[in-house]
Amino acid sequence: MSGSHSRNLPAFRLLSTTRKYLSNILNLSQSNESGNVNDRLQQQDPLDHQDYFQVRDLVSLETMFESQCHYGHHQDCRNEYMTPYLFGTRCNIDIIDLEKTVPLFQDALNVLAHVVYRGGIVLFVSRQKMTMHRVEHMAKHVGEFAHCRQWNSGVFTNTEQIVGFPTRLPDLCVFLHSQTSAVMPHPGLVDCAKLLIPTIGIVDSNCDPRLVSYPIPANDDSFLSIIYYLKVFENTVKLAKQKRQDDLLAEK
Amino acid sequence: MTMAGSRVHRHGTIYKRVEGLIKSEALQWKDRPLWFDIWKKFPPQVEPKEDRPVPNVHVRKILYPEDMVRAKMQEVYEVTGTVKNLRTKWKGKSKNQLFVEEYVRLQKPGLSVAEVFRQVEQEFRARGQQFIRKPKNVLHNAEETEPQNEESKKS
Amino acid sequence: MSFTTLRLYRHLNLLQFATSESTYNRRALFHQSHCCQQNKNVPAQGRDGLVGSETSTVPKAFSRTQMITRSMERFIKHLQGEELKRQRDIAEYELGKRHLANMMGLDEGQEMTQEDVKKCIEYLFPSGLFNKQARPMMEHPLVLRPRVQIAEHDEEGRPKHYLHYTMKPTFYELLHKAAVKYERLKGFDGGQEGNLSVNTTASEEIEFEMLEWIPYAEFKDLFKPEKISEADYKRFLTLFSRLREHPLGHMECDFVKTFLRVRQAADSGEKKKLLPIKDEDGRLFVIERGFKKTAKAYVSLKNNGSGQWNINGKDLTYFEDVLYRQVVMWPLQLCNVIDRYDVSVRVTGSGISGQAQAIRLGVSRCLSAFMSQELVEKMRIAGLLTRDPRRRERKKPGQEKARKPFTWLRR
Repeated sequence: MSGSHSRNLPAFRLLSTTRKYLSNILNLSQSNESGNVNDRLQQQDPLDHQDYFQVRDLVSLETMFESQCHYGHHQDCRNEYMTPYLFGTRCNIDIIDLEKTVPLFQDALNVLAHVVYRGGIVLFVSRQKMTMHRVEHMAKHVGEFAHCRQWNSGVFTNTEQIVGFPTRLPDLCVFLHSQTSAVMPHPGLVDCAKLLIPTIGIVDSNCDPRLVSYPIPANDDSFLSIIYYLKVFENTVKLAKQKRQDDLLAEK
Repeated sequence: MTMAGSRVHRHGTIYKRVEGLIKSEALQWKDRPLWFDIWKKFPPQVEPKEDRPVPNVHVRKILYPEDMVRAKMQEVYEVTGTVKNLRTKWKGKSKNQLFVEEYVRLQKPGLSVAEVFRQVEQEFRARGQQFIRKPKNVLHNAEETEPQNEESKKS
Repeated sequence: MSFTTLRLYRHLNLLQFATSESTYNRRALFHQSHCCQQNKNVPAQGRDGLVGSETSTVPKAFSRTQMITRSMERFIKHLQGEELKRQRDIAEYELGKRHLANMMGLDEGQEMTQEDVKKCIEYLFPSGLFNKQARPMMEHPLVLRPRVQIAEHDEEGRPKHYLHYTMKPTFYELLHKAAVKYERLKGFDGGQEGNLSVNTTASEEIEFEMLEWIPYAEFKDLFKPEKISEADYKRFLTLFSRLREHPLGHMECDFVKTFLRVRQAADSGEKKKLLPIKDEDGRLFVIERGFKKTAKAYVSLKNNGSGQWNINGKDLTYFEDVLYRQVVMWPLQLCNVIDRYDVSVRVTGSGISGQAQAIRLGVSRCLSAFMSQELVEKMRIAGLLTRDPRRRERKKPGQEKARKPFTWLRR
């Protein structure tokens, strides 16, 4: 792991505790003298804040474990680039190390929230038939976009020809399933990398995590786990949109 | 599909490519993409580039001490009970798991496996549960051997 | 580098819309747009009013979020300008029409149609030009320059439809709706089924039975700007037939019915198709005959059944050999309706094999009254609807059987 990018877990804990402390102060001050600390916090650039949207609390290791997020694939299907994220193999099945997953997941959610906050377009992508309609429903519900159908290779690269007029492309793609079948990587990942669109992706033990900007190593086949991810993503987008609206109101 | 397509995605990361464009003034600073500042502040833990060395990590096998008991148990008794259903959040313990736990509790240094098995069986019978033994000819004398020295069984 | 730059432009090209502007203008537009980093301290609302009071007090946090980019403003302005111009043109056109009417001595109050205008122009400005498009003309401005369609995006350039990036939003939304409904039906378990079932009237049921899916050619046109391939149509068919055939499918009857229509009768030139009759229970049935050798089978087929058989008072065990049971059930199996129809048969003559094949013909003929044209064609190709014309050949004199000669003996 490269030195500049590595983050250790204790630092995160420290930050989350400070944030809780800050929020406590905020609540207190609101009751006492109206809005002093509030103003100070608002004038801060959201990017200077480690967890501006408080999305890191949305992920917990226990819930992930209960939602079966640690199950990988058979060890013969393993992608060699996934080995750092694995805990071990049990009965030839790879088990994903959720302790490594949780901070990655939190980082990804933070980025997602920031993009939404800035009015970016988020596209949820999945090719899993079982949960396809749920992904679409979620995207509609939070006011973002979904693409769960066959990937037309011109979707990003040749939009103008297909749609008939120039379209704004998404600013972030969330892949709930980074493969189209058991062996094929999702062609959308390559398109995103070409067109300078960052990606968040759930990568199972058989997926290639190299092109995913913010990979989340976890089980992408289990029904329960996908429902869990959907819930977390939905809450994140909602939080960010709420924050955006609040800040807009405060400006007025 | 990408027969005659571009291969830009193979070099560096999207961040580095945008950075390069800005440095060479092909792209003005004010025109940078929406995610650029976010990435700068919160970069990914590992750079998402395609050309990177294969990580040399050994993936260990996950084994527990009671695995031996479980294996032996499957040899002696018929497999009963349900397999865990992955669509539900069932938190209960399976029958086999209860058996193994009981075994670990009753285990003592002097006792042979067969004796402990018998004790566990009695314990369960008292609770009204049963473990069905496989017919003798399938057993291969499994009960007599200790779980530790597996190899001696084959000779 | 140039290649990457180009791609980048495509992506960053946030707010370009279809306008008649040249590429040069578009470039300029592009350079002024984006991410609002430069003009981040200027709130969008009341920009004109707040010029002096610059916004150093406005926190950074939301200045970025609220911007309508300059390119967007430019675009809106452009559209407004276009609209103004168009209105002026329309006014001019109306005035021109009145002038024409005046010149031609027509009534003031009478409304002139485009046809009249054309006639007037032809009369007043006769032209010998060969190319018709080069001749003088006067058209309504909206015909000459239609409005740009920009309904799909909002002010920030976000597409309005949540499935916009699939390129077939309306079609996929339909599939999405159907999938959600199907999942809902799956959610009801057997226990609730009795409470939920709605008593549809018999006529409705018959109607439902006699409907078929609208063909590809019509279906395609429902989603006009989107290109629906045949594979897409097949996907639609599988999903919707699943929804229709679900035990609780009648709950979504109205939704499904929009894509059904009354089955067209077969070609009138051919033998008139049998139509099912209603019995006292309200079930549809058909009676047909089947033949093979000297065997005759009188078959009656009822819909809404459970796959029960009655052959001369017995069930399928009338045939002891499994082979003949298979023979008899083949037509139903081919149409995948084994458990949906009840069959009762009276069969006489010939042997077991002949009887079985006679029944098969009878069942196939009955089924063809219920099934779609495609399936009937499939049955025909499989030879199920053809009467086997072979009969027993007569014995010849001087021979042991029909063809077999007597054993030849050297004397």
